[in-house]
Amino acid sequence: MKKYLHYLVIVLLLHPSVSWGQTRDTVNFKHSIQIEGLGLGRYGSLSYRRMIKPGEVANFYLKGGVSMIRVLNYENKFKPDIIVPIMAEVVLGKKSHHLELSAGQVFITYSTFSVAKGGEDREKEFSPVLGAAYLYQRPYGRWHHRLIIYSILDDYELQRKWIGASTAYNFNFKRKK
Amino acid sequence: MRIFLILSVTIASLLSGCHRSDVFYSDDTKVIGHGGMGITHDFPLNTFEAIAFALHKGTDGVEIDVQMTEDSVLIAYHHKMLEETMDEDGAIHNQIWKKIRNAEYSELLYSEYGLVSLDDIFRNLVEFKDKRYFFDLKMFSPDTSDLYYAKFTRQVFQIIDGYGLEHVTLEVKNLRLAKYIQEIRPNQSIFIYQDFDTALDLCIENDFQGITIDIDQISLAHVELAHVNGIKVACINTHSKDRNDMAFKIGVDYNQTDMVNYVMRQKRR
Repeated sequence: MKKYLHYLVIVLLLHPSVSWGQTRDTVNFKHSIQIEGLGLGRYGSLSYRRMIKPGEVANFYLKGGVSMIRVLNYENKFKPDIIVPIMAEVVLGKKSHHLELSAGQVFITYSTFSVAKGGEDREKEFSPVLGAAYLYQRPYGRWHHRLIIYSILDDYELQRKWIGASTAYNFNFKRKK
Repeated sequence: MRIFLILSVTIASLLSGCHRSDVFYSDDTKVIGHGGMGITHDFPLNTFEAIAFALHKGTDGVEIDVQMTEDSVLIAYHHKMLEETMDEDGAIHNQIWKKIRNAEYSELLYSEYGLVSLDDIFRNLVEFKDKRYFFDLKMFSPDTSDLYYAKFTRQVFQIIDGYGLEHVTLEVKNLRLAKYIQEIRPNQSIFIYQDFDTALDLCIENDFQGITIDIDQISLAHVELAHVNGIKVACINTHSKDRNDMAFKIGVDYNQTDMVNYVMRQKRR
């Protein structure tokens, strides 16, 4: 399945109807809230994205999110596992089709059992991430949809490929001239 | 208006996902978490976290897959080879515990859960010694000698006796091993893991206590036939709502469920 999604993204990137290199009047909201499924938050996450630099060729963004894998630990107590992805993104493209490139870090803290301690332990890990996405957003459209491939160095140890799909709603309609 | 429409569709689809079963989830069918929380939960099977979570959730017990290392340490692990789910290679029976004790499950993004020995599990779950445990004895080793069986069985009984486990059932595929266990401990509960007819014959012939079988391979008539003969039935592969409903509908004695959360919700209704 992952293999085919890789192909799909490549086809979309190379499709003749898609030309990158112009951003005017397309993806230029200053603020957006995004709900992402199967992305960096594993099952789902809620993110805030802010445009930091609009450009002729590309727009630049910073994004921070939060996700909870589970809220109860193995003792059935309220001790949530939390994932916080922090990413820098650049978006290229015109009209409805865009290429989004991203890089950043994911921080996670989760409850686990330590044999050595004979009790609960809390793991804290950082994982660097690189991502590429096909982004569909109609001009001035508040909704956008993405198909993403991430390359994640899980806890700086294990290289993983991860596929995500997201839908986001953009608010605070401030178009940059 | 559009947001309202989308929210309505989302809420409707979430509500339609809340399955309300018409089947009565009787206390006569005991809830046993397969490998802890089952294959549908993201705590990996046989991890301490999965086993402890199932017990804290109020299940009647858990099923644990048991393998033995080369240096005779009993490990909770399902697959034949470590590389199928972990960051280590090889078969458990060829490994020394000290070498693999830091192995971690590599299936999940970000989260790392470790391999545990049965000693690790029961040393830290003393408050649950009265729960029911099914030990699925995984005999992947090519060594089928009496000496190997004796060593394996001795280690199992050391755990049972050492931690005062009150209700342990040993699940065995191999008749010779089952007979060996029965010979050294006649009162030990043994379930035979075969097709229904073979398992029933073996149980009647050898006084074994029960049958472990795929939910797809049994019906109400099978369960009634087993009960008439004084044989208990444990079902496996209940990894969907329909399969769990079926387990309770036909009245198996033990449902080794892969959907602990769903079953416990249905029982509370």
